[in-house]
Amino acid sequence: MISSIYTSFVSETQKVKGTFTFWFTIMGSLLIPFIYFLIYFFRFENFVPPKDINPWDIFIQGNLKSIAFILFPLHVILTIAINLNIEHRANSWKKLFVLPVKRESIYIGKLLFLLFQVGVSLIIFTLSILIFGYLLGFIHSELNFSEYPPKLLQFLKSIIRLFIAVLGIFSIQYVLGLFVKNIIIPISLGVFLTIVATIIVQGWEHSIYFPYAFPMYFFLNSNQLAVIDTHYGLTISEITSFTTFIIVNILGVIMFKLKRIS
Amino acid sequence: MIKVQNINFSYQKSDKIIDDLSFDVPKNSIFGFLGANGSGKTTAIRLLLNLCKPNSGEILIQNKKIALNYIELYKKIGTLIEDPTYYGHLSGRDNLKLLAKFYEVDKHRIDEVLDLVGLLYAKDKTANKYSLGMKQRLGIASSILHNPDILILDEPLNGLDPKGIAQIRELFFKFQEEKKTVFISSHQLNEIENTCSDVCIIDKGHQLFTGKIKELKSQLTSGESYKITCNKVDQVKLILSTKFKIKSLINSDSELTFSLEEKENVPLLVKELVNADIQIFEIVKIESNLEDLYLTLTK
Repeated sequence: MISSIYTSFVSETQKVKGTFTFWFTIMGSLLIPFIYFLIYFFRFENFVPPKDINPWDIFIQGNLKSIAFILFPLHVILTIAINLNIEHRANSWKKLFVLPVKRESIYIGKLLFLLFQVGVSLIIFTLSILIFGYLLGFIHSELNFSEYPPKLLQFLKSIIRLFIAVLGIFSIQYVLGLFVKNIIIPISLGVFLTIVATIIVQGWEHSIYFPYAFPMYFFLNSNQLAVIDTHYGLTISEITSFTTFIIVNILGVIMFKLKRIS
Repeated sequence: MIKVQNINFSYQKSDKIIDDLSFDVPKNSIFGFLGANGSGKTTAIRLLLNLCKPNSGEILIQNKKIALNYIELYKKIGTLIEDPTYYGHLSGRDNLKLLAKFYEVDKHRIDEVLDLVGLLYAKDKTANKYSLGMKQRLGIASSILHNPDILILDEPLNGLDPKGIAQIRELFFKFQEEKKTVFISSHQLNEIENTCSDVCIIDKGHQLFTGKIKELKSQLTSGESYKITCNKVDQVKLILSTKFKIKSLINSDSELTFSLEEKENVPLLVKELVNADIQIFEIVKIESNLEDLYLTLTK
């Protein structure tokens, strides 16, 4: 099983060769850090920090909050839809299902590859923030980026929490994308639910259980329940996101096994 | 090699797609699976491959139930189901490379099968730029990549030009020489007749005939048909109907087509016609082709 999951994962890496999804991962991840870089670059006088203040804190938080509110969920929705559309366009399920491996291996291989793709997006995002920060420090020394080190551990912790927070959306979009041939449907539903989340997250206390709202708590800390740390070091919404991921994928594997080629 | 036993399948209770279908595909045969569009051929193939589960009945491949042993059996089966599957943005070679990983096939085998289907020259071209026939060849290449014992191909000759058809036919014969079994569904009756030794004909999901084409011919045609070109056609007609046991008789101005129950009657007939001073220009035996038989069977 492990070796067939690995084979499935490797074949996924080859499938995206030269496709839009490959470039989308890279360009999509660079977008916000690059915009921040441009803003700091051209309006640097507005961002000169007071003495004894680490400029990295505001720079990193600004980047993180910008993607967490709506862009990262949309990035995940599009990444999954574009990737799964490769299979739908090739009408390849009938071929994949007669390969000498269990359907679970195909499901998990694909899932792991998409998680990897989202992970790579976050790594590119993280590295580009650091590179742009140092570059700004080099160009405009008054921004003090060279004077202070970025709080890397805290930064990485935030990135991991953001990754966990998006797992709920990820799993729903993944299962939806596997079973719905028309790419427009999972994308529009995902966008619609993200928009719903932007509204309910600002006032409805139960929004902490709504998967599309989970990453938004990075931006909006108004909901006290959402930001309470549990003894696992995660918030309720992050734990709910992880639980959603597990439950939806268990259901997804069962449905995938029963999927009939008609 | 493949044993289908009383399978039934329907999406809805009232709408039977496959109705008590049973047939055996002999080992080392090239087996034709015939039926009109919508007769249930593709559904039957999906059932054979465990892509759908039958409502009842059983399918055995190499004496093993496909439903329980599909992973083991998929290693030994090459498939082409309806249109060939390919990733358009990848080259023909890269498409096969993806599959080679699952079958643990050496990379040199990829070029070998591309050569076998006559696609080696275009191996680095993206599949989207392939013609219909080239895509079909790629589909066939992907089905033989792992050197399977059994090939199950749904309409494999679609989109191929005459040269391509001949090439693929040769490939099937080569497979047969290698003691493999080829199962082809098609509506191209000529090709099936030229390629297959055994056939199963289905109509509305129900089996009409299974066996050798020769057996089908002898079942549906009693006696042998002849065509005679001569003068005095009416007189010949009279001789035929009065002195010989004929099954059918069709005439035109200078030709008569008829069936004789025994071929020993042919020289007798010729003698009779010569004695009656009738000039015979030509007398030929007419072979029933698969198309005639198919149409008779599905009438």
